[in-house]
Amino acid sequence: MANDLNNLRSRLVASPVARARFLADTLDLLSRNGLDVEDPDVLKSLDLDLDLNDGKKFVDGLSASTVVITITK
Amino acid sequence: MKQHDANNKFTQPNNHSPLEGWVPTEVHDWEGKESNVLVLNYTMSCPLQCDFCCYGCHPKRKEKMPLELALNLIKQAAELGVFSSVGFTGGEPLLYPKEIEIISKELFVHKIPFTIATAAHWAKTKAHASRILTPLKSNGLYRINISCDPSHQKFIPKESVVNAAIVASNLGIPTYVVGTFDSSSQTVDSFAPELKGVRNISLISKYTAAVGRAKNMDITQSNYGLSLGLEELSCYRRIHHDVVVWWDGTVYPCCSTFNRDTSGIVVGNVNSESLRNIWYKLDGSMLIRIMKRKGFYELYEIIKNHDPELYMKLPKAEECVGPCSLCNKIFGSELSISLKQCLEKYEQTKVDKSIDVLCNLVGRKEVMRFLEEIM
Repeated sequence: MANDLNNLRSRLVASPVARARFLADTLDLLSRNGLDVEDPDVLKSLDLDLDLNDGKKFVDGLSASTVVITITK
Repeated sequence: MKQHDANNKFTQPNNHSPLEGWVPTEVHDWEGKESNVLVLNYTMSCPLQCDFCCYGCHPKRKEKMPLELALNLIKQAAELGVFSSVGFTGGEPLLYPKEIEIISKELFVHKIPFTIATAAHWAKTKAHASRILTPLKSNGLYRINISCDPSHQKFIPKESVVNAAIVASNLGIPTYVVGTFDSSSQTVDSFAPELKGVRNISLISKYTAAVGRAKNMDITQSNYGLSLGLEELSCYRRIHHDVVVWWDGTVYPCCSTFNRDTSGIVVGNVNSESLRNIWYKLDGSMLIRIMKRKGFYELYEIIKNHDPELYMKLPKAEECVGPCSLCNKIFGSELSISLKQCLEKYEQTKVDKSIDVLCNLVGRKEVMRFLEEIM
Protein backbone atom coordinates (compact mmCIF):
# COMPACT_ATOMS: atom_id res chain seq x y z
CA MET A 1 0.00 0.00 0.00
CA ALA A 2 2.88 2.34 0.82
CA ASN A 3 4.28 1.75 -2.65
CA ASP A 4 0.91 2.49 -4.22
CA LEU A 5 0.70 5.82 -2.38
CA ASN A 6 4.27 6.70 -3.28
CA ASN A 7 3.58 5.88 -6.87
CA LEU A 8 0.51 8.08 -6.93
CA ARG A 9 2.40 10.80 -5.13
CA SER A 10 5.23 10.76 -7.68
CA ARG A 11 2.77 10.93 -10.55
CA LEU A 12 0.94 13.79 -8.88
CA VAL A 13 4.09 15.83 -8.33
CA ALA A 14 5.25 15.25 -11.90
CA SER A 15 1.97 16.21 -13.60
CA PRO A 16 0.93 19.90 -13.85
CA VAL A 17 -2.60 18.85 -14.80
CA ALA A 18 -2.92 16.51 -11.80
CA ARG A 19 -1.49 19.13 -9.46
CA ALA A 20 -4.01 21.66 -10.72
CA ARG A 21 -6.85 19.20 -10.09
CA PHE A 22 -5.39 18.46 -6.66
CA LEU A 23 -5.23 22.13 -5.67
CA ALA A 24 -8.69 22.82 -7.09
CA ASP A 25 -10.38 19.90 -5.33
CA THR A 26 -8.61 19.54 -1.97
CA LEU A 27 -11.22 21.58 -0.12
CA ASP A 28 -13.94 19.26 -1.44
CA LEU A 29 -11.94 16.29 -0.19
CA LEU A 30 -11.74 17.81 3.27
CA SER A 31 -15.42 18.70 3.52
CA ARG A 32 -16.48 15.29 2.16
CA ASN A 33 -14.57 13.78 5.04
CA GLY A 34 -16.28 15.92 7.61
CA LEU A 35 -13.49 18.42 8.19
CA ASP A 36 -14.22 22.03 8.86
CA VAL A 37 -12.83 23.88 5.83
CA GLU A 38 -13.16 27.15 7.72
CA ASP A 39 -10.78 25.96 10.41
CA PRO A 40 -7.64 28.06 9.92
CA ASP A 41 -5.48 25.45 11.63
CA VAL A 42 -6.52 22.80 9.12
CA LEU A 43 -5.83 25.07 6.18
CA LYS A 44 -2.56 26.27 7.64
CA SER A 45 -1.35 22.73 8.20
CA LEU A 46 -1.82 21.98 4.51
CA ASP A 47 0.04 25.14 3.50
CA LEU A 48 -1.54 25.28 0.05
CA ASP A 49 -2.96 28.82 0.17
CA LEU A 50 -6.46 27.40 0.42
CA ASP A 51 -7.88 30.09 2.67
CA LEU A 52 -11.10 31.29 1.09
CA ASN A 53 -12.76 32.35 4.24
CA ASP A 54 -11.19 35.47 5.61
CA GLY A 55 -13.12 37.53 3.12
CA LYS A 56 -12.98 40.79 5.01
CA LYS A 57 -9.20 40.70 5.02
CA PHE A 58 -9.25 40.37 1.25
CA VAL A 59 -11.94 42.94 0.58
CA ASP A 60 -10.31 45.56 2.77
CA GLY A 61 -7.21 45.26 0.67
CA LEU A 62 -9.12 45.72 -2.55
CA SER A 63 -9.19 49.49 -2.81
CA ALA A 64 -5.48 49.97 -3.28
CA SER A 65 -5.40 47.28 -5.92
CA THR A 66 -8.26 48.55 -8.03
CA VAL A 67 -7.97 52.32 -8.14
CA VAL A 68 -5.92 52.56 -11.30
CA ILE A 69 -7.21 49.53 -13.07
CA THR A 70 -9.84 50.04 -15.66
CA ILE A 71 -11.68 46.76 -15.51
CA THR A 72 -13.60 46.13 -18.68
CA LYS A 73 -16.20 43.81 -17.12
CA MET B 1 -16.51 19.31 -8.11
CA LYS B 2 -17.49 22.40 -6.19
CA GLN B 3 -21.05 23.49 -6.93
CA HIS B 4 -21.86 27.15 -6.80
CA ASP B 5 -25.10 27.96 -5.04
CA ALA B 6 -25.92 31.24 -6.81
CA ASN B 7 -29.01 29.65 -8.30
CA ASN B 8 -30.37 29.14 -4.81
CA LYS B 9 -30.50 32.90 -4.38
CA PHE B 10 -32.99 33.33 -7.23
CA THR B 11 -36.59 33.84 -6.35
CA GLN B 12 -39.62 33.74 -8.56
CA PRO B 13 -42.34 35.90 -7.10
CA ASN B 14 -45.31 36.37 -9.37
CA ASN B 15 -44.98 39.03 -12.07
CA HIS B 16 -41.32 39.71 -11.32
CA SER B 17 -38.10 38.69 -12.95
CA PRO B 18 -36.91 35.38 -11.57
CA LEU B 19 -33.60 37.10 -10.90
CA GLU B 20 -35.03 39.87 -8.75
CA GLY B 21 -33.40 40.10 -5.38
CA TRP B 22 -29.97 39.17 -6.65
CA VAL B 23 -28.18 42.39 -7.41
CA PRO B 24 -24.84 43.74 -6.30
CA THR B 25 -25.34 46.17 -3.45
CA GLU B 26 -22.25 48.25 -3.84
CA VAL B 27 -19.57 49.16 -6.30
CA HIS B 28 -16.93 46.67 -5.27
CA ASP B 29 -19.27 43.88 -4.34
CA TRP B 30 -17.26 41.48 -6.43
CA GLU B 31 -16.34 39.45 -3.40
CA GLY B 32 -19.85 39.71 -1.94
CA LYS B 33 -22.57 38.07 -3.98
CA GLU B 34 -20.39 37.66 -7.01
CA SER B 35 -18.15 34.63 -7.01
CA ASN B 36 -16.64 33.52 -10.31
CA VAL B 37 -17.66 35.36 -13.45
CA LEU B 38 -17.46 34.14 -17.04
CA VAL B 39 -16.73 37.13 -19.23
CA LEU B 40 -17.21 36.98 -22.98
CA ASN B 41 -15.10 39.54 -24.81
CA TYR B 42 -17.49 39.37 -27.71
CA THR B 43 -16.01 41.64 -30.35
CA MET B 44 -13.19 44.04 -31.11
CA SER B 45 -15.47 46.14 -33.26
CA CYS B 46 -16.61 49.38 -31.71
CA PRO B 47 -18.28 52.53 -33.02
CA LEU B 48 -15.70 54.50 -31.01
CA GLN B 49 -11.96 54.90 -31.23
CA CYS B 50 -11.00 56.19 -27.77
CA ASP B 51 -7.46 57.46 -27.40
CA PHE B 52 -6.78 55.24 -24.37
CA CYS B 53 -8.55 52.06 -25.55
CA CYS B 54 -6.72 49.15 -23.96
CA TYR B 55 -7.53 46.82 -26.87
CA GLY B 56 -7.24 49.28 -29.77
CA CYS B 57 -10.89 48.80 -30.77
CA HIS B 58 -12.39 50.82 -33.60
CA PRO B 59 -15.15 50.67 -36.23
CA LYS B 60 -13.09 48.87 -38.89
CA ARG B 61 -12.22 45.91 -36.69
CA LYS B 62 -14.37 42.88 -37.44
CA GLU B 63 -13.24 40.24 -34.96
CA LYS B 64 -16.23 38.64 -33.24
CA MET B 65 -16.95 35.54 -31.20
CA PRO B 66 -19.08 33.07 -33.18
CA LEU B 67 -22.58 32.90 -31.74
CA GLU B 68 -22.36 29.09 -31.60
CA LEU B 69 -19.24 29.31 -29.45
CA ALA B 70 -20.91 31.74 -27.05
CA LEU B 71 -23.98 29.49 -26.70
CA ASN B 72 -21.77 26.46 -26.16
CA LEU B 73 -19.80 28.28 -23.47
CA ILE B 74 -23.01 29.15 -21.62
CA LYS B 75 -24.05 25.49 -21.63
CA GLN B 76 -20.59 24.45 -20.39
CA ALA B 77 -20.67 27.15 -17.73
CA ALA B 78 -24.08 26.01 -16.50
CA GLU B 79 -22.86 22.43 -16.26
CA LEU B 80 -19.68 23.45 -14.46
CA GLY B 81 -21.76 25.29 -11.87
CA VAL B 82 -19.07 27.64 -10.56
CA PHE B 83 -20.13 30.97 -12.09
CA SER B 84 -22.40 33.46 -10.36
CA SER B 85 -22.86 35.49 -13.55
CA VAL B 86 -21.69 36.13 -17.09
CA GLY B 87 -20.37 39.45 -18.41
CA PHE B 88 -20.38 40.77 -21.97
CA THR B 89 -17.66 43.18 -22.97
CA GLY B 90 -15.59 44.14 -26.00
CA GLY B 91 -15.30 46.40 -28.09
CA GLU B 92 -19.02 47.05 -28.11
CA PRO B 93 -21.09 43.89 -27.59
CA LEU B 94 -24.32 45.72 -28.41
CA LEU B 95 -23.23 46.15 -32.01
CA TYR B 96 -24.83 42.70 -32.13
CA PRO B 97 -28.01 43.19 -30.09
CA LYS B 98 -29.87 40.25 -31.65
CA GLU B 99 -27.05 37.84 -30.86
CA ILE B 100 -26.71 39.16 -27.32
CA GLU B 101 -30.47 38.69 -26.89
CA ILE B 102 -30.23 35.09 -28.17
CA ILE B 103 -27.39 34.34 -25.74
CA SER B 104 -29.34 36.02 -22.94
CA LYS B 105 -32.24 33.63 -23.58
CA GLU B 106 -29.84 30.72 -23.07
CA LEU B 107 -28.60 32.36 -19.87
CA PHE B 108 -32.18 32.72 -18.67
CA VAL B 109 -32.82 29.02 -19.25
CA HIS B 110 -29.88 28.25 -16.97
CA LYS B 111 -30.81 31.01 -14.49
CA ILE B 112 -27.47 32.76 -14.88
CA PRO B 113 -27.69 36.55 -14.60
CA PHE B 114 -25.49 38.73 -16.76
CA THR B 115 -23.97 42.17 -17.13
CA ILE B 116 -23.06 44.24 -20.17
CA ALA B 117 -20.32 46.84 -20.64
CA THR B 118 -21.32 49.32 -23.32
CA ALA B 119 -20.78 52.84 -24.63
CA ALA B 120 -24.53 53.25 -25.30
CA HIS B 121 -24.36 54.14 -29.03
CA TRP B 122 -27.79 52.44 -29.21
CA ALA B 123 -29.49 54.96 -26.94
CA LYS B 124 -30.07 57.91 -29.30
CA THR B 125 -33.46 58.27 -27.63
CA LYS B 126 -35.06 56.75 -24.56
CA ALA B 127 -37.34 54.76 -26.87
CA HIS B 128 -34.30 53.24 -28.61
CA ALA B 129 -32.74 52.45 -25.23
CA SER B 130 -35.92 50.81 -24.00
CA ARG B 131 -36.15 48.56 -27.08
CA ILE B 132 -32.65 47.24 -26.33
CA LEU B 133 -32.83 46.99 -22.55
CA THR B 134 -36.34 45.68 -21.88
CA PRO B 135 -35.88 42.18 -23.36
CA LEU B 136 -32.43 41.90 -21.84
CA LYS B 137 -33.80 42.80 -18.42
CA SER B 138 -36.46 40.10 -18.83
CA ASN B 139 -33.74 37.57 -19.57
CA GLY B 140 -31.63 38.44 -16.54
CA LEU B 141 -29.61 41.60 -17.18
CA TYR B 142 -28.75 42.51 -13.62
CA ARG B 143 -26.27 45.34 -14.14
CA ILE B 144 -25.11 47.54 -17.00
CA ASN B 145 -21.79 49.41 -17.19
CA ILE B 146 -21.93 52.50 -19.38
CA SER B 147 -18.79 54.40 -20.35
CA CYS B 148 -18.83 58.16 -19.96
CA ASP B 149 -15.82 60.49 -20.14
CA PRO B 150 -14.30 63.06 -22.51
CA SER B 151 -12.71 60.38 -24.72
CA HIS B 152 -15.96 58.49 -25.19
CA GLN B 153 -17.87 61.71 -25.66
CA LYS B 154 -15.91 62.51 -28.83
CA PHE B 155 -17.86 59.68 -30.44
CA ILE B 156 -21.04 59.20 -28.41
CA PRO B 157 -22.95 62.24 -27.15
CA LYS B 158 -23.49 62.33 -23.41
CA GLU B 159 -27.21 62.46 -24.11
CA SER B 160 -27.06 58.81 -25.24
CA VAL B 161 -25.36 57.84 -21.98
CA VAL B 162 -27.99 59.69 -19.98
CA ASN B 163 -30.82 58.08 -22.02
CA ALA B 164 -29.40 54.60 -21.45
CA ALA B 165 -28.74 55.20 -17.74
CA ILE B 166 -32.16 56.68 -17.03
CA VAL B 167 -34.01 53.94 -18.92
CA ALA B 168 -31.94 51.29 -17.11
CA SER B 169 -32.66 52.98 -13.80
CA ASN B 170 -36.40 53.08 -14.52
CA LEU B 171 -36.31 49.38 -15.43
CA GLY B 172 -34.68 48.70 -12.05
CA ILE B 173 -31.34 47.71 -13.57
CA PRO B 174 -28.38 48.78 -11.40
CA THR B 175 -26.18 50.95 -13.58
CA TYR B 176 -22.53 51.84 -13.26
CA VAL B 177 -21.55 54.91 -15.24
CA VAL B 178 -17.80 54.51 -15.58
CA GLY B 179 -15.44 57.20 -16.73
CA THR B 180 -11.74 56.85 -17.44
CA PHE B 181 -9.61 59.94 -16.94
CA ASP B 182 -5.95 60.82 -17.17
CA SER B 183 -6.01 63.10 -14.18
CA SER B 184 -7.10 62.34 -10.63
CA SER B 185 -8.76 65.76 -10.48
CA GLN B 186 -11.38 64.63 -13.01
CA THR B 187 -14.34 62.49 -12.03
CA VAL B 188 -17.57 61.19 -13.50
CA ASP B 189 -19.43 63.14 -10.82
CA SER B 190 -18.25 66.43 -12.31
CA PHE B 191 -18.48 65.22 -15.92
CA ALA B 192 -22.05 63.91 -15.68
CA PRO B 193 -23.61 65.72 -12.68
CA GLU B 194 -27.12 65.09 -14.05
CA LEU B 195 -26.72 61.41 -13.13
CA LYS B 196 -25.57 62.07 -9.59
CA GLY B 197 -28.02 60.86 -6.98
CA VAL B 198 -30.27 59.09 -9.49
CA ARG B 199 -31.72 55.87 -8.12
CA ASN B 200 -29.90 52.69 -9.21
CA ILE B 201 -27.01 54.67 -10.77
CA SER B 202 -23.47 54.63 -9.39
CA LEU B 203 -20.77 56.90 -10.80
CA ILE B 204 -17.32 55.37 -10.91
CA SER B 205 -14.11 57.15 -11.86
CA LYS B 206 -11.11 55.21 -13.05
CA TYR B 207 -7.80 56.31 -14.45
CA THR B 208 -6.04 55.53 -17.68
CA ALA B 209 -3.61 52.65 -17.64
CA ALA B 210 -0.56 52.61 -19.90
CA VAL B 211 -1.74 49.82 -22.18
CA GLY B 212 -3.20 49.53 -25.67
CA ARG B 213 -3.55 52.89 -27.36
CA ALA B 214 -2.34 54.52 -24.16
CA LYS B 215 0.83 52.43 -23.97
CA ASN B 216 3.15 55.33 -24.71
CA MET B 217 1.41 57.85 -22.50
CA ASP B 218 3.58 59.14 -19.69
CA ILE B 219 1.66 57.57 -16.84
CA THR B 220 3.29 57.19 -13.44
CA GLN B 221 2.08 56.68 -9.88
CA SER B 222 2.55 60.38 -9.16
CA ASN B 223 0.09 61.28 -11.97
CA TYR B 224 -2.62 59.82 -9.77
CA GLY B 225 -1.21 60.77 -6.39
CA LEU B 226 -0.30 57.17 -5.60
CA SER B 227 2.53 55.70 -3.62
CA LEU B 228 2.01 51.95 -3.92
CA GLY B 229 4.64 49.54 -2.74
CA LEU B 230 4.83 45.82 -3.32
CA GLU B 231 2.92 45.07 -0.11
CA GLU B 232 -0.14 46.84 -1.46
CA LEU B 233 -0.29 45.03 -4.78
CA SER B 234 -2.30 41.91 -5.49
CA CYS B 235 -4.65 40.67 -8.17
CA TYR B 236 -7.90 42.64 -7.97
CA ARG B 237 -10.00 39.46 -7.48
CA ARG B 238 -8.63 38.17 -4.19
CA ILE B 239 -10.64 34.97 -3.93
CA HIS B 240 -12.65 34.16 -7.03
CA HIS B 241 -11.91 34.38 -10.73
CA ASP B 242 -13.02 36.39 -13.74
CA VAL B 243 -12.62 33.86 -16.54
CA VAL B 244 -12.36 35.98 -19.67
CA VAL B 245 -12.87 34.32 -23.04
CA TRP B 246 -11.91 36.33 -26.09
CA TRP B 247 -13.53 36.23 -29.52
CA ASP B 248 -10.78 33.83 -30.69
CA GLY B 249 -11.27 31.46 -27.74
CA THR B 250 -8.17 32.55 -25.78
CA VAL B 251 -8.83 32.52 -22.04
CA TYR B 252 -7.35 34.95 -19.50
CA PRO B 253 -7.67 34.70 -15.70
CA CYS B 254 -8.77 38.31 -15.25
CA CYS B 255 -10.68 41.20 -16.76
CA SER B 256 -7.84 43.66 -16.39
CA THR B 257 -7.22 46.04 -19.25
CA PHE B 258 -3.71 44.56 -19.40
CA ASN B 259 -4.85 41.00 -20.00
CA ARG B 260 -4.46 40.84 -23.78
CA ASP B 261 -1.04 42.43 -23.54
CA THR B 262 0.16 39.81 -21.03
CA SER B 263 0.63 36.56 -22.94
CA GLY B 264 2.21 34.78 -19.96
CA ILE B 265 -1.10 34.61 -18.10
CA VAL B 266 -3.09 32.87 -20.87
CA VAL B 267 -4.84 29.84 -19.36
CA GLY B 268 -5.86 28.04 -22.57
CA ASN B 269 -8.23 28.19 -25.53
CA VAL B 270 -11.85 27.02 -25.51
CA ASN B 271 -11.60 26.03 -29.17
CA SER B 272 -9.23 23.20 -28.25
CA GLU B 273 -10.18 22.31 -24.67
CA SER B 274 -13.23 22.28 -22.47
CA LEU B 275 -14.19 25.07 -20.12
CA ARG B 276 -13.98 22.52 -17.32
CA ASN B 277 -10.34 21.79 -18.15
CA ILE B 278 -9.55 25.47 -18.26
CA TRP B 279 -11.32 25.98 -14.94
CA TYR B 280 -9.18 23.31 -13.27
CA LYS B 281 -5.99 24.89 -14.62
CA LEU B 282 -7.03 28.29 -13.32
CA ASP B 283 -8.47 27.33 -9.93
CA GLY B 284 -5.64 24.87 -9.36
CA SER B 285 -2.82 27.27 -10.20
CA MET B 286 -0.64 27.97 -7.19
CA LEU B 287 0.91 30.94 -8.97
CA ILE B 288 -2.47 32.60 -9.51
CA ARG B 289 -3.51 31.68 -5.98
CA ILE B 290 -0.45 33.44 -4.57
CA MET B 291 -0.96 36.54 -6.71
CA LYS B 292 -4.55 36.76 -5.53
CA ARG B 293 -4.55 35.70 -1.89
CA LYS B 294 -1.03 36.58 -0.82
CA GLY B 295 -0.10 39.35 -3.21
CA PHE B 296 3.01 40.33 -5.09
CA TYR B 297 5.13 40.86 -1.99
CA GLU B 298 4.78 37.19 -1.11
CA LEU B 299 5.42 36.17 -4.71
CA TYR B 300 8.62 38.20 -4.76
CA GLU B 301 9.71 36.67 -1.43
CA ILE B 302 9.24 33.17 -2.82
CA ILE B 303 11.32 34.05 -5.88
CA LYS B 304 13.98 35.67 -3.68
CA ASN B 305 14.30 32.48 -1.63
CA HIS B 306 14.25 30.05 -4.55
CA ASP B 307 15.93 31.97 -7.41
CA PRO B 308 17.83 35.05 -6.21
CA GLU B 309 19.16 35.72 -9.70
CA LEU B 310 15.65 35.94 -11.11
CA TYR B 311 14.56 38.07 -8.16
CA MET B 312 17.11 40.73 -9.09
CA LYS B 313 15.54 41.03 -12.55
CA LEU B 314 11.96 41.49 -11.35
CA PRO B 315 10.41 44.93 -11.96
CA LYS B 316 10.06 47.33 -9.06
CA ALA B 317 6.59 48.20 -7.76
CA GLU B 318 7.43 51.90 -7.93
CA GLU B 319 7.93 51.64 -11.71
CA CYS B 320 4.38 50.35 -12.17
CA VAL B 321 1.02 51.95 -11.66
CA GLY B 322 -0.91 49.27 -9.87
CA PRO B 323 -0.80 45.47 -9.74
CA CYS B 324 -1.97 44.87 -13.31
CA SER B 325 0.84 47.00 -14.65
CA LEU B 326 3.33 45.00 -12.53
CA CYS B 327 1.83 41.70 -13.66
CA ASN B 328 2.14 42.89 -17.26
CA LYS B 329 5.81 43.78 -16.83
CA ILE B 330 6.50 40.28 -15.51
CA PHE B 331 4.23 38.03 -17.55
CA GLY B 332 4.37 40.09 -20.72
CA SER B 333 8.15 39.66 -20.85
CA GLU B 334 10.77 36.90 -21.04
CA LEU B 335 10.74 36.82 -17.21
CA SER B 336 7.45 34.92 -17.44
CA ILE B 337 9.04 31.58 -18.39
CA SER B 338 11.67 31.69 -15.63
CA LEU B 339 9.18 32.75 -13.01
CA LYS B 340 6.75 29.99 -13.93
CA GLN B 341 9.55 27.41 -13.79
CA CYS B 342 10.49 28.64 -10.32
CA LEU B 343 6.88 28.50 -9.14
CA GLU B 344 6.43 25.04 -10.60
CA LYS B 345 9.20 23.69 -8.38
CA TYR B 346 7.70 25.53 -5.42
CA GLU B 347 4.29 24.06 -6.16
CA GLN B 348 5.70 20.54 -6.52
CA THR B 349 7.36 20.79 -3.11
CA LYS B 350 4.23 22.09 -1.42
CA VAL B 351 1.96 19.48 -2.99
CA ASP B 352 4.37 16.72 -2.06
CA LYS B 353 4.51 17.85 1.59
CA SER B 354 0.74 18.22 1.82
CA ILE B 355 0.15 14.50 1.05
CA ASP B 356 1.38 13.45 4.51
CA VAL B 357 -0.80 16.07 6.18
CA LEU B 358 -3.81 14.95 4.15
CA CYS B 359 -3.20 11.33 5.13
CA ASN B 360 -3.30 12.38 8.80
CA LEU B 361 -6.49 14.36 8.25
CA VAL B 362 -8.60 11.99 6.14
CA GLY B 363 -6.68 8.71 6.12
CA ARG B 364 -4.33 7.12 3.62
CA LYS B 365 -7.04 5.13 1.85
CA GLU B 366 -9.13 8.23 1.19
CA VAL B 367 -6.10 10.13 -0.11
CA MET B 368 -5.28 7.29 -2.49
CA ARG B 369 -8.86 7.18 -3.73
CA PHE B 370 -8.72 10.95 -4.28
CA LEU B 371 -5.43 10.77 -6.15
CA GLU B 372 -6.66 7.94 -8.36
CA GLU B 373 -9.73 10.00 -9.18
CA ILE B 374 -7.81 13.08 -10.26
CA MET B 375 -5.05 11.38 -12.26
